[in-house]
Amino acid sequence: MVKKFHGVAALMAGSLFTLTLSGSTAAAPHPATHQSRVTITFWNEMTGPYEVALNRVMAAFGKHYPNVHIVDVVVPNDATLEPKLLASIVGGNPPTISQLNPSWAAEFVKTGSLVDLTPFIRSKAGFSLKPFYQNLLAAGQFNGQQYALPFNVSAAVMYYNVTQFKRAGIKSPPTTWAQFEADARKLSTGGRHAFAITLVHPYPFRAFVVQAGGSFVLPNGKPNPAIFTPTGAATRAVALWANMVKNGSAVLTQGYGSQTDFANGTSSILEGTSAFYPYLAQAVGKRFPIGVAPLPGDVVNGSASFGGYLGIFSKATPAQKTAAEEFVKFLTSRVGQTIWMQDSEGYLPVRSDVLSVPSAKKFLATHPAQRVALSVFARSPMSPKVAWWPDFSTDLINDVTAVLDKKMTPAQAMHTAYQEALTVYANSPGR
Amino acid sequence: MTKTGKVLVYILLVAVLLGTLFPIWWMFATSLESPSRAFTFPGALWPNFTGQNYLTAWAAGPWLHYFANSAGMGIATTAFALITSLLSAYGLVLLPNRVAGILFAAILVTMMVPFYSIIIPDYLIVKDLGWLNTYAAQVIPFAANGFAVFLLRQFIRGLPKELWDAARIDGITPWRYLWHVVVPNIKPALATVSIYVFLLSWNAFLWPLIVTSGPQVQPVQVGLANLLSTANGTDWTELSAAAAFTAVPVLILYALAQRSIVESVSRTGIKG
Repeated sequence: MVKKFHGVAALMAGSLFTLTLSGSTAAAPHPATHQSRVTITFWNEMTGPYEVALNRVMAAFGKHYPNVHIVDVVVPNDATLEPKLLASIVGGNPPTISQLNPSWAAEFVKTGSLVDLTPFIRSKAGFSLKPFYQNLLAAGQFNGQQYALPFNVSAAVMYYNVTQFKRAGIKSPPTTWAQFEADARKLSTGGRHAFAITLVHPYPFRAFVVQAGGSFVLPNGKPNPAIFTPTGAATRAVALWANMVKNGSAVLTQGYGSQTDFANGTSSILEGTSAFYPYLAQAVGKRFPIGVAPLPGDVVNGSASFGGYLGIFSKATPAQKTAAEEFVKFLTSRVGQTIWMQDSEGYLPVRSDVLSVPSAKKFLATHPAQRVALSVFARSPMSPKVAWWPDFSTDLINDVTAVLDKKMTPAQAMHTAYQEALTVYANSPGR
Repeated sequence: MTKTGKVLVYILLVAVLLGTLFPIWWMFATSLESPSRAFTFPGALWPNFTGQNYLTAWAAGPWLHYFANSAGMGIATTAFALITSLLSAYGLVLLPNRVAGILFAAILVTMMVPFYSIIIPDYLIVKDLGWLNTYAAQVIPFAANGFAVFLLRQFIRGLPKELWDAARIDGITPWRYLWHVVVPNIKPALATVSIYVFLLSWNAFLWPLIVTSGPQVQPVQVGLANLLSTANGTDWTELSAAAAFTAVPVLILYALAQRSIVESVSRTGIKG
């Protein structure tokens, strides 16, 4: 399914680029005063409980800006938001603001579809970027300018079944890959696999590559060959998982099957973002205490961040643009991010100054997943902000899956992955 | 068949029936379970029959509105598709073989083009017509259906030539032949096409999601995804409850039309 949607996205991205080159231009602006009523559309993936949390943040914004009417359009996930956005851009009627991935933003910037936020940020009405986590800001920067700002971001952590750890005689969660492998073996008894692997998204694997000291992309935007060599970071990460699958201490699950396995006690360790926590807590109930710890490290004690950014589309009228900039400023402000972190109960603030807010301190004391994720947040890069990443990530997932299914060796799979990376890089629009 | 053979056949049929019903039972059972027990065995398979999930799921969105949208668009799409496919199929049977062959091949080709590859052109057409965020955008693009034409053509071709000859001798026009002879004789196929198109419309997801922007005109499948799934996890008990009450109309429809579907499939020579 992921492959199918990425195929769709690639096709549509091609159309977007072609149409933009052929002269699709912005609509005539309709100036409006700041006092007049302005309607802006905001496309986002904040479904279910997150929609409730977002509504609270929007209500807080509405108190300060009663003249701005926000049309909140919710879609379920990336796989549906991406084609919807691409179709609307090609059709010349994108939303005013949308949640987006940095890799999509790369494409939108090239086609002139996104507004450069830098002039607004530097203006009198703007704000300082200093409190933001710099690794998150970097993913929204293109050509040295800030086009997208992080909003709903979480980082991968390790959830573990405290009862099963105690029963296996493990006193504390593993902190290194070697301990991780050894503990997983102890926990894998009676046909149980301690570590249930999920590959719905590439971030669980990306986190291990980060720990191995690797980065998928070179500063010039090309695939990084070093991590795909037989001793490279990606190869070592997949080899770790492959060995664990081979010795029976890990298993690859389909979809979000790892959450199910963890909740029913079939597995003991789950890699997931802090945003998993509300769902896990509900699914596990009182059957066992859920422990949360940073993922075991290797060369680096880091992780992978995962989530959405905010971008404003250049088709917006000047009045809409002004209102949208104020809205983005509020959503990413200290106040906005404090409300968002507390009400979403899974996402992390994208700026460190939230941590000094008294209510945030109190909140984090009782929310271990967010607290632990924040401890590694600064060392948890977002997915690469290159246009070829979405297509490549599908190939990468397939290659890692092939290793775990024992159809390829880690070295073969990562060699194949590098060739695929070169191909998608060569074919990426406007590279 | 011997008695033993019959018993074996029935055992096999019961096993297949249980295998078919199991996922449906699981969905209903999970919908009646508390969240934490839904992940235990045999918790979800024999629930503690709590109705809370239904109440919570029902309160999550304007379901009656979604149902009305889906039903209305399903009926409209079905009506349009029946008319267009019946007339096309009839025309293809009446036309000289060569012309009909070329046109039929062209219609079959439309079945082979992946929908995803025409999303952008379709979107641009719908946008230029001013149909974004309307019912028309979700009905008109599906008002003609290649598979429906194929199915009806096979049925019409299967009618005895003597019927056509007798009608010609009686001086009946092709139009009256269609309504008074063809239609009554292909009712099972028409029922199958109706169910097929209605289900396509009822289950439509990506296209409605792309061309709509709010619950006013969105169908039930989009509502289901928007309200109850997230990028980080899913409350399976609530989602199962919502899936259960959104599946019920389709299950009832299928049960009512089951005989026609089986008959039409057996007569067209389609094998599952």
